Amino acid sequence: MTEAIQVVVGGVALGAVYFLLGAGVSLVFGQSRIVNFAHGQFLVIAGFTAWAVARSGVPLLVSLLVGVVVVGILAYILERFLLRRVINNPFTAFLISLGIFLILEQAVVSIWGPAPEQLSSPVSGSWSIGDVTIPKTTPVLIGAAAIIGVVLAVIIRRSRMGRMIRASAEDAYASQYSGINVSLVRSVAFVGGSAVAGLAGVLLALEYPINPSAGETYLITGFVVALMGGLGSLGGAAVGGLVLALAETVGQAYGAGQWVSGIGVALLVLVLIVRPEGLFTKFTGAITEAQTVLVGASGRLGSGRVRQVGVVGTIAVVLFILPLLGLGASTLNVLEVALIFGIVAYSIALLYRLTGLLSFGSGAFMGVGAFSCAIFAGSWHWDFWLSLVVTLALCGVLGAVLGVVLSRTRGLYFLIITFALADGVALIEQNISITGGASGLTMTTNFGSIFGITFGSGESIYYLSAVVLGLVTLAIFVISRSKFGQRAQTIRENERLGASLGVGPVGYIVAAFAISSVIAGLGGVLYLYQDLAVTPGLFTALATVSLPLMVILGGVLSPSGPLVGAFIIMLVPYLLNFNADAETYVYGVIIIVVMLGAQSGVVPYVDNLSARLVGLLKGGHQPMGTRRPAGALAGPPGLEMGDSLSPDSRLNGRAASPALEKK
Amino acid sequence: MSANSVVADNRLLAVDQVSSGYVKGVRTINRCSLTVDEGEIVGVLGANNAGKTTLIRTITGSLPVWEGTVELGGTDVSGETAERITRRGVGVALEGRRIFGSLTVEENLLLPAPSKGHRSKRGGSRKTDRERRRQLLADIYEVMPDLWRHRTSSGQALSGGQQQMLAIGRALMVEPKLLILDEPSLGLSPRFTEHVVDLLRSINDRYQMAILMAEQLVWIASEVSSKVYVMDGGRLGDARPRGTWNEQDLSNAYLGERGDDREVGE
Repeated sequence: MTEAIQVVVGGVALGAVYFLLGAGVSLVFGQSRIVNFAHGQFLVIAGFTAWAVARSGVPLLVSLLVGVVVVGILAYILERFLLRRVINNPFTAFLISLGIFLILEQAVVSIWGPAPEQLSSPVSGSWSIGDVTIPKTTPVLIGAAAIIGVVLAVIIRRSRMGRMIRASAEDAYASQYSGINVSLVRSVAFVGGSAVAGLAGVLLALEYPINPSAGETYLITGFVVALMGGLGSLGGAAVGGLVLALAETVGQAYGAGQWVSGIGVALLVLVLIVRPEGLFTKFTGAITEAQTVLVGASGRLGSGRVRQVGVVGTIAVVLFILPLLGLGASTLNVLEVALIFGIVAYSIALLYRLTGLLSFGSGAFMGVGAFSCAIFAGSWHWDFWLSLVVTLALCGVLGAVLGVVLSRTRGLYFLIITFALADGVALIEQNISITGGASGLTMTTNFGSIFGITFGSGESIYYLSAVVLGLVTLAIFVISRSKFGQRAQTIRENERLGASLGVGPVGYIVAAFAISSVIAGLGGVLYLYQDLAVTPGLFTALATVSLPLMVILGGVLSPSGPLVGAFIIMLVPYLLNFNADAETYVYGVIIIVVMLGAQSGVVPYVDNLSARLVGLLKGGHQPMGTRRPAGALAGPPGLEMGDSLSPDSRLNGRAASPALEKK
Repeated sequence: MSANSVVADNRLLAVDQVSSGYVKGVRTINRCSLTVDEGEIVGVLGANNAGKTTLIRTITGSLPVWEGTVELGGTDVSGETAERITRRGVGVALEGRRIFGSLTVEENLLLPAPSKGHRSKRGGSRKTDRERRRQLLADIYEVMPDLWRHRTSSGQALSGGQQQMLAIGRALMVEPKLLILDEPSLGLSPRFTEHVVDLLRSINDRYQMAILMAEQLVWIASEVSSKVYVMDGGRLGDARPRGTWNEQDLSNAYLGERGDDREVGE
């Protein structure tokens, strides 16, 4: 009994922090329409700044304030100089924030080291009531969260700024006609929501040590809380925070410690199935927006196909020649891995092309593929080909199941769930015995032989991967051009139109998921035989961020985009011979620069550029509407606002820059 | 033609040879000119796709002015944002009404800030500002008792006609010198449409407020307007002062013959 009370008290204190996290996310996403990947990292930065300032002898309260203010300023700079430029395209904004996150996370580790830190609180010690011990910080935490919650509610519900924030979030175009400066109001919401994350950070640091690289975990927690409660509902965030925190502390206390990190997403999936709009959503408009806001691009494979085929052909020749140049073993290894990730990148691109959904969960299927094959062929000594077939079938079935669950979701839900998927699979891999626990599995047998060729050495796996990559590319081309692919793309471009033509989305989404998962699983199997070993979580960190990045970077709708992206991501840091820290910074900067400069990816950008160059050389005029005018961002405000907020562009984030999709 | 050759003292809005559109190089509206004097009601008549909404978007700053000028009270406002033009004293009731469903009726009305023009003219303190707005709100409730009755319910809960009232009321809270309406009759029952027309007339009487109205229904425009422009294929005809037309003329003007080279926008 006393233990139960103890657990509940701990849960409520944690719940207070979770509430603030969720409220911050709700404010930032619900009102400024930016999915800020760095949101959780703001919490970490506030905590660490306060810790560092307090350590230098500054009074605690002042240090806490400094932590929050630093985050506020940081948020303002990011919004003003980076995110605002791409506000028309929430998806691009999200990816830029991903780049910011990578840089900030690395910066915290570089400045303050990788160890978790905790503020030394003046209200140290604890009360003992019977056998229950309550840390004296607990009431501080709960009280502070309650006060902040009330203040936020009053601002949003009662103040003029609150009205303007709600109006701008609902209909930016109409808001202008009430004389509202929409971009200013959005800045306020963004900075305010980020500052709330900062508050959560300094409060958290009072009672718990903060891990410098836990920003991603806090982000997911914040989104789970906000979505569970219903976006825009403070009460919902409070209940969501409390439920999640209690579930986690209870799980921790009663022997499910290793599963705790999966509870949040499991709860979210549950809520999604039972009540997709969140538990406490009053206004349904917000959630439709939340569900559609990240469904991005339009445009199909179109003109320029001849040029694209040329590019793919050139790549094939280069790939064939590369190993003959006498590269070192380590270089060949990097090339192999790039090829394998390229295959998985194509699986993401295919899913995106067919459904308009960008999955962050391919790493999970790489893991399933690698581990299943290792178990079947390695541990159980099945025939290789049988193992391969069963593995791929398993991936397909799991993908289809996931497709059924996720076909109900769009945008933010989809993002968070697929994002957490790889973590979830890694969690399972670590905690069941069949996968070899933390150390994973090693292989003693090789990939099966084809036409008498055995695939053991580096070079043979390299060529095998290249051939598989070629086949996958071909398959994607065929699928995209098939009746199935055409119909799926119709749905992607306009679900309602598709429905009116009798093309329902669910079946297509499920099928697309299954195909994509099989390809990702195949990538996992190749990775297994390339390395002859597989460990839990191998694909998690790498895959969740790097893989979608490769796709976006290269150009998601471009035939050669994913491969080019994979080579850039894998080769640039290797060739420049960076250490791991610098590599992270480079990733971050690459993402931001590319997303600011070439939103549809490097390949279409270069393509477009060369087309314009050719046009210039021929003396003709440039193709119309292929790029926004150079000065568009800095142009007269009337032009910018008009573009960005016209009702048409609200319906489809990309419509504001039609140029970037069409060639 | 040059609409501005003789500039009247009481000229409020002067749109001169304005072109704009959505896709680069395609003029959805082409060299449009119109004027609105103080206290005047002006109608722009046109069928669907004639370019009425595009014209209003361009005048009010949510589409860029590609060429020509938009002058408001003698000041060139081409290139200003919709937010700034609104604050200069232009109230717009948008096509499709676009009520904020997540706000209550009263919150919808309290959203707009008082326009700059009024502030500087009266030089009032914040307190008289607030006083004046309270009076304005009371006036709006008086003219539109439905809004008073539903003031605490969500904007979503209103009927189409009530939403149109709210849209007009919200535009009035800007304290406009010029009220712009984009198809106020859209989606309303004939009876309610008459109600809206009466309302516009009384607003015009009460505040001496100029009104620019884009409409498809000929009778609305012809009943209240002191002059009418016919719009077709993105082009605006010459001004037709009251007395130079009857409803039949106007119907013929835009339902009759059309140019074949229409550039369709919207």
